[in-house]
Amino acid sequence: MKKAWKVILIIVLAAILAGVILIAAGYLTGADTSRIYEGMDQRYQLANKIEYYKNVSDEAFSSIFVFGSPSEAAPQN
Amino acid sequence: MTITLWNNIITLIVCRITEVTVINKQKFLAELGKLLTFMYEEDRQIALGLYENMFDTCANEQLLLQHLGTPTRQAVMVARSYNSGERKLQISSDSRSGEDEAQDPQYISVIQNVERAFTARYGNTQQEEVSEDQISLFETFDFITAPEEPSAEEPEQTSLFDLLDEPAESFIRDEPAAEEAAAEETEAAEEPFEPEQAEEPLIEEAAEELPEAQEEAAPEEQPEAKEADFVEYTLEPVQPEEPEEEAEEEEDEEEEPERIPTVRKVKPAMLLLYILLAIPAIVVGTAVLLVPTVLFLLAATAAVILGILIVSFPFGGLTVFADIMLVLGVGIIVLALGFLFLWTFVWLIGGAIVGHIQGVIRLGGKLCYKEVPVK
Repeated sequence: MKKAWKVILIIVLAAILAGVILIAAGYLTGADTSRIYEGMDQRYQLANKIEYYKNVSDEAFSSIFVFGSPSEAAPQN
Repeated sequence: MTITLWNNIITLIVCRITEVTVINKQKFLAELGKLLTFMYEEDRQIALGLYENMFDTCANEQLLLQHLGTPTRQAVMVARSYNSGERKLQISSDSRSGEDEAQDPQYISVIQNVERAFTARYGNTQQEEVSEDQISLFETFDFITAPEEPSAEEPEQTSLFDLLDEPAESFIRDEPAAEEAAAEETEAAEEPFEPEQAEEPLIEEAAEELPEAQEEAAPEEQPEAKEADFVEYTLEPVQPEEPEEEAEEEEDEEEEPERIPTVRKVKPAMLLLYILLAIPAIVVGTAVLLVPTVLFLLAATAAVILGILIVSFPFGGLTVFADIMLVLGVGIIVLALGFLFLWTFVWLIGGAIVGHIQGVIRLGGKLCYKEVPVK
């Protein structure tokens, strides 16, 4: 089992190192994160999905706190 | 290779010459001691003690030396009657049974037979005291009786088995026929000892010592046949009964302490109590371990799916090479983390949970059972 752990860790560390090298190379050659985000948004509609999951989580929290959110339940002076 | 072979042959010839020409009690025993190194040390000491006792009890040392022949011959006789494997078993059985009267090993009887043969042939020389006015028959044999210091040039015989590997003819000296020897034997008690007897053959001695040789040594037989019998007696290849490897294995076995057979007996009350405690412990422990296991499984699944999406995205949605490299780097890192989570999940299932259950069972085995020696 220890030998398997060693092999797995070596593979994972090598992959992480390769990823870090690629990220560094991308930044050095002029990569732009906003451009990447736009491309992803166009393809996967990230903004819509993020908005959807925000609404779902808000509804879930509101159903958990029966008496409203802690901020709303607090007495107003 | 050839040079070594010739060296061995020359060494053996020199040994043989020195054995035959100049020998006394000390030299005989020293040579015999070297040749009997194949025996267990205790047996070797016993054999040498018997020969030494033979010399001590015999008034005429040279006569006894003539009777015994060469140390090599005596060593071959002892080797033929000595079985180290059987000897070991005999020693162990004697020590276990604790009987005082252990059966004498065969080699002792062979040595005693030699002594008996000497006594039968030359009479009891033990009590013979030669008065000063009598003339010694061996005064002329100063070259034999003069004690010689062992020369440094004399080659060593390291093992009897080196000699046993010799061709059969090397053990046979120029000897007269057996019939002549028998005739001489009858006259031996009456006639004075002659110098030629120093080179006398030992065929008749061998015939006395071995029953089969006695049967075959009938006077009507041809001398050639008797000589063949003698050759068969003395020169049969004596192989060591146990190779060195087997001997080493046996030594290892001897070194290991004897294990006393035991039986596991259950302690019922303790076992019942332990079962009552172990079942909840296993359930709780497994449940506790299952939580991180499931979390790791979810994380691994999410990381792998996300990593695949990230890695596949830049090939269709990005045009700038720098952006592609950046996204690929992130995707590889996510995939690597997903692989690590997946392996952690497998380790938790196969190692941690199963190990926990086995550990609890093993602990129960230690606590609830006791080893009792078999009566």
